[in-house]
Amino acid sequence: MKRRNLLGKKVGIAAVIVAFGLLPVFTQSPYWMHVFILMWIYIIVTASLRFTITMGEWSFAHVPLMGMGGYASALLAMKLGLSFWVALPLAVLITAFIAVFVYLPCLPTTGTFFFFASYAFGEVMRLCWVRFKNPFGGPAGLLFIPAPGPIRIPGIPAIEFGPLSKIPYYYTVFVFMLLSLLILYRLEQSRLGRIAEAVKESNLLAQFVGIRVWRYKMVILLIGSAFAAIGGSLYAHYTTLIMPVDFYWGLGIYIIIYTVVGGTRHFGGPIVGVFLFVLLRELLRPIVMYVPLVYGLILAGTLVFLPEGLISLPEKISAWAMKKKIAAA
Amino acid sequence: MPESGQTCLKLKNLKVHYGSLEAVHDVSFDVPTEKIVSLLGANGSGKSTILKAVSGLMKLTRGEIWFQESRIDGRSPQDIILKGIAHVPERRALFPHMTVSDNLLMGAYSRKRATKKELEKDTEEVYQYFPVLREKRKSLAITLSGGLGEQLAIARALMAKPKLLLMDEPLQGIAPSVVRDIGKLINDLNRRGITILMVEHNISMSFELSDWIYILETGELAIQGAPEDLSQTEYVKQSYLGV
Ligand SMILES: Nc1ncnc2c1ncn2[C@@H]1O[C@H](COP(=O)(O)OP(=O)(O)OP(=O)(O)O)[C@@H](O)[C@H]1O
Ligand SMILES: [Mg+2]
Repeated sequence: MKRRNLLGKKVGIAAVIVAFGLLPVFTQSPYWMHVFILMWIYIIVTASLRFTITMGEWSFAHVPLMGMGGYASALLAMKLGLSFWVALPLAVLITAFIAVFVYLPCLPTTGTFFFFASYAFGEVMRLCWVRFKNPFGGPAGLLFIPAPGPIRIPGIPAIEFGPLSKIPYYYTVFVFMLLSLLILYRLEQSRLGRIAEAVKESNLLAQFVGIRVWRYKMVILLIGSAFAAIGGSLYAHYTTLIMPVDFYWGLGIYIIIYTVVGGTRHFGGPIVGVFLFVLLRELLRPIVMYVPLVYGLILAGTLVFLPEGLISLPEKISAWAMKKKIAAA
Repeated sequence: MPESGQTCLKLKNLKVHYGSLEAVHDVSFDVPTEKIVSLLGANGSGKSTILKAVSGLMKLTRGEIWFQESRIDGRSPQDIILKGIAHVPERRALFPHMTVSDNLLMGAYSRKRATKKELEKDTEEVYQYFPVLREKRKSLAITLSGGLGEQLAIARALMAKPKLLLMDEPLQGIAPSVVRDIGKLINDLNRRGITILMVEHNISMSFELSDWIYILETGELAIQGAPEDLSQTEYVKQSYLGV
């Protein structure tokens, strides 16, 4: 029974991947391509935020660190002339390095204090981009960030990135997303995932069994930051312009709403959350000023009626159906 | 000083601070190998702090801690567990949303070299001691009753294969009928060769179980002795037995 469920799940996931892999075959509308490219980027950022939450602390520096990835990658490309394909991995390393200093002062705190401390230190970083015109461009940010260089595979024409078609971006971001999710999933199933769970369950007892709590919290936060940086770098080279305001606290709140509404306890939670909210946002375009209100209502409703998030809905329904069946029998 | 063969644990002039507050002033004592030793004292007298210092969770301001033949103060908690000291913290700390069997596995966290097979064997051995835990191995720890929770807390510590077990108030909040069971369990563990240093507020139980008793008063040792001798002293009669 359980094994069949698992197989069904795998087939389902494969079907979804294939369907979105084939999406550009059905629609090449730049509008929808754009919506989905941003969606894949947000999924990387949100899933990596949830990964850090597995050790029990909510970071509000995640979005500024995404921005750091974008700035680092863009500057490496603009000032040093590096290709996107080199700049991205370097930007990931730089962001993880900076994240050490962002999180070091936060680590002695937990809970609400950690949340606000991480907000404060993330904001300091963001204000640096505003304050220092050189090299960050000040409030206006960076313009004309170069697109990724062409991908050359022998035997087929080179794949060029440019304003003409969004399809190369679509597939690049899509693949980055799938790989990121795969790595994050494997990490969560690994020994590190168990340690994260133990730390979240009881910070104190974790120390009693010999876990070096600080070190592991830092490791998990840095891994999260690295993936946030991937998202930021993709964002920068796709949009070709970034500003400090792109990474302000409001986006942090949205990412948290996506995670909570989707469900923090399941790996798939934030994926479901991003998917629904990004589509919802498109639907709400005519009444865009009410978007925060609608988001707030959905958040409140989920917290009250589905505290484990939308991803727990099928489970809840089948439990409810089972109950009915038993009652009827 | 208790007369006996070898010393398992030796504390020399321990001084421990929380910030500027001195919790342990100047404490020296020995725990002989394969005995049960109790550390008694009023609330806030520094008992838990001493246990935390032994397992490396509190830094010493001064003093030395020796375990068997080696000095362990300043070592990391992980090293100390590996040397053979496991700690059952006060208030029955468990990983509440993990299953019973996952809680046990976390107890073996520090044994990084152990193979999966070895861990399975050890889990099985622990279950033989705690058959009810085996029945509940898939339940979340949070669903266990107080007595079972304590069993799990002890079982978790045993997964580290300790030679010395530190127990902080193992009988706290446990129904009188179950207190005897846990007492018997402590005795059994001791008979199997595990040295026990425990902190308890249940005076009659610790007098019954222990080979030697130390009584602490605001960070200093006030009095010590074998339980049968101590119970005759005026000090114990007045402050503990209420006669
Ligand atoms: N985390 C802490 N921060 C600051 N002071 C602490 C802390 N933990 C304990 N203390 C103080 O250190 C002293 C000794 O505390 P400790 O917990 O060792 O006492 P105890 O003998 O175990 O008491 P109890 O019987 O209530 O468990 C007390 O004065 C206490 O207030
Ligand atoms: Mg105590």
